[in-house]
Amino acid sequence: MDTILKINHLTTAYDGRAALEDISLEIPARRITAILGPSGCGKSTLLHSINGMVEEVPNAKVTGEIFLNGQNIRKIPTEELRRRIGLVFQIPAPFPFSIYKNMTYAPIYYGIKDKKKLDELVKEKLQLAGLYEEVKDDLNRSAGKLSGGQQQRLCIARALTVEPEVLLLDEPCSALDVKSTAAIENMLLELKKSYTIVLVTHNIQQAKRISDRAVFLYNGRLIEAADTGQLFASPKAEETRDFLSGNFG
Amino acid sequence: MKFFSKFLKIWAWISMILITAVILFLFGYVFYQGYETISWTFLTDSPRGAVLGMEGGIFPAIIGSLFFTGTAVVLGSIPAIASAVWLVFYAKNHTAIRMMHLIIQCISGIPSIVLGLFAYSFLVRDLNLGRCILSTGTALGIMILPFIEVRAEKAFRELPEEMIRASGALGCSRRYTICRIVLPACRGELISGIILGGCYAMGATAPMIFTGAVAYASVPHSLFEPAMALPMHLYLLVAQGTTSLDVAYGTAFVMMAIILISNLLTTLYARSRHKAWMNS
Amino acid sequence: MMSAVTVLSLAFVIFFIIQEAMPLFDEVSPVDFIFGRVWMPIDFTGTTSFGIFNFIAATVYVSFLAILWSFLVSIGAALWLSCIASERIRSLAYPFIDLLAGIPSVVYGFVGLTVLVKLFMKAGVHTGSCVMAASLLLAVMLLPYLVSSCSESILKAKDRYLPATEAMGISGWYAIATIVLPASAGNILTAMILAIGRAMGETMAVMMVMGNANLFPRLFGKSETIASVIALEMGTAVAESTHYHALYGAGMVLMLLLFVINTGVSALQRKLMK
Repeated sequence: MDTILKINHLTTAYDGRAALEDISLEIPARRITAILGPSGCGKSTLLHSINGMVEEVPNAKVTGEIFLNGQNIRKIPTEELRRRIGLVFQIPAPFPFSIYKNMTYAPIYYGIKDKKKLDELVKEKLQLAGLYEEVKDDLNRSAGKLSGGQQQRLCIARALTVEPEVLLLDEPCSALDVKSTAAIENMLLELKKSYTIVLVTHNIQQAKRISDRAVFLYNGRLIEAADTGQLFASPKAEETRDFLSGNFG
Repeated sequence: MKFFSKFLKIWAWISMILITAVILFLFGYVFYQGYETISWTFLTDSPRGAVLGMEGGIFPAIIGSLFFTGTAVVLGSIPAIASAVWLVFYAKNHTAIRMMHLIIQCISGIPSIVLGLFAYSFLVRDLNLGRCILSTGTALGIMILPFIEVRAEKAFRELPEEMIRASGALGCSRRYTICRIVLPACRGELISGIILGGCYAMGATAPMIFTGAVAYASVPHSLFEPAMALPMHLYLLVAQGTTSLDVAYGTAFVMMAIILISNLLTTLYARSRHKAWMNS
Repeated sequence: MMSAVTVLSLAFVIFFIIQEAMPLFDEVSPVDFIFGRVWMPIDFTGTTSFGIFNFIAATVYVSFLAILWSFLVSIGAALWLSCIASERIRSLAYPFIDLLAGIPSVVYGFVGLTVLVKLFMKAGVHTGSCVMAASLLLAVMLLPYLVSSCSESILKAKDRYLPATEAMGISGWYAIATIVLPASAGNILTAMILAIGRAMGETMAVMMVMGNANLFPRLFGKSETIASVIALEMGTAVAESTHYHALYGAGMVLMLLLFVINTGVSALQRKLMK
């Protein structure tokens, strides 16, 4: 199993208060890694530290190193880093124009102008996200008219248009119903054949269903990281046991 | 206290009735007194007669007003929108943001007559532009700058933050995000802010008295000549006394009609945009 | 980058006004200028004199009067809008009242001259032009700003406190009088101070109905504001004459007065936020 992301002693602090403390972690390529933990444990901060979003926050301070394919992310220009590490948010955030324009928004930015190429790209990524069959008749429909689940799949497909190496998902299903959640889970299982996925979730069952590795964070510290089967069958730390049995969170 | 609360209720009703009456009276009065003067000749002819405006029309004043307003809108809205963009998307430092807000508030506090003084000493005299549309337009532009900035900033802040962050997460630069998402999404609010600002500029008289508006001129051809303007024309007609009262009513009518119609259209436009936006 | 233009435009305005006003103080001391009561810019009688005290007094006097009238009506209307009107009526009433803000000030002046001044003349005021007429006109002009900001703050206070008092079975209007109004007093005060600023800078409407005579303001007497002096005399003042510089000096006084008001308001707002 290749490691694509390697995090060494990462500490992220807002206004001097540490949200993440001394995290060391390896993320395997083309697998789904689930990050678990009660709300406020630093899950989102971890994702935002990985793709550089945390630098947008005033007074945030990051120490430690993160390597993407052996390359220190500090040495990668922010825009390129974000292209290579995609991030999808909890609340679906389609842009206020058509599905097609949502999909071509970033490719055009990166200089793809050929209409044919764009068409192909849109089709391919929408298919990957399992959305193409549902929307192919009317790609010019406003993205806001899609259902919540469709919007979120569109956002994932949109993140794929820039060919990221890693896809970070921040609780992508928490605003969705059961059926939409199932659709997204199936899609993620499909996607892991070609992409590395890091999924933040507070849904223990979801992590159990689809992830290969699971990481448990608590109060900004990494408590335990193991293969999913192992973590659920025999958690080593007491906090992990409590969390998995539903004692808190 | 029981008595006072009953009194409050009556007071509220009286006030509202009073305001409604004043509004209806103002519009009713001007439209009633003015509509008889309005004719095709009045709108398309130049002023004539021994005393200004006794005969003829107000065509050069209408066109002049459009020139003044257009210049003001261009000069005012560009820095206004740029400042709003900077405040919402670039500025990180709290002190800097507060300073900028204070500066904008101070500009909005400068009386329009003082802006006229400024334009006179800087543009008319020091830059040697003389009395012209550009000199007045600059003063009017500064006057409507805070007006447009406040509306633009409000529109930007009401955009869902996720959308902006999603664009950043795709690796797109802030400039691209602003040009492709923020500005198109706020188009309705920006346009209505600019047009309302334009109406405000069109009605202002004080800054133009000694910087570019004149009693009589033909239709302007460039920004470097003085011109007639509706509010100035109205003021001069009134100052002349009773001889040209009918023409004054007509001029007031035209000005109110232009402003009322653009107000109405932009409100409707902004509402429909807002609705489309909420539904999408 | 373009936002620098915003900062620069304020700097430019301040710079040019002060630059043109400064030569005045070589000839007239600031104290004489501000507290002097005789304004004789052209030497008909042999001596010139530049004192703007009456103008300052008139500006302040007419603005405060206007705020008083406007306050009485706009608080009532704001109460009506926030406590009597339904959501739907409110959404129609706001743009309706905003129509007042769209009327150019010269139209106000014109209507004031043909209606208000005539009324005062019939009521026995000599020529009809007076401070009272100007203040009433100004009050109407201030209405849209005051009504919208007052009703906004009353609505906020109402949403915050009224459910709790209703739960205690206290009548709505009693709670409004005792809790909602006092709670929104701070914001209403800020709005009023800002409105005073607006009133002081207003030129055309006031100038057209106030008679424009350099007299200390009395309710039914003529008077002249700073803005009116500038508007009326700037056209005839010889460039670079003392008269010319004195008009810039008057503008500077007016501008500084408003800066003090605006910075004061933003400090007050920050205090209220806490």
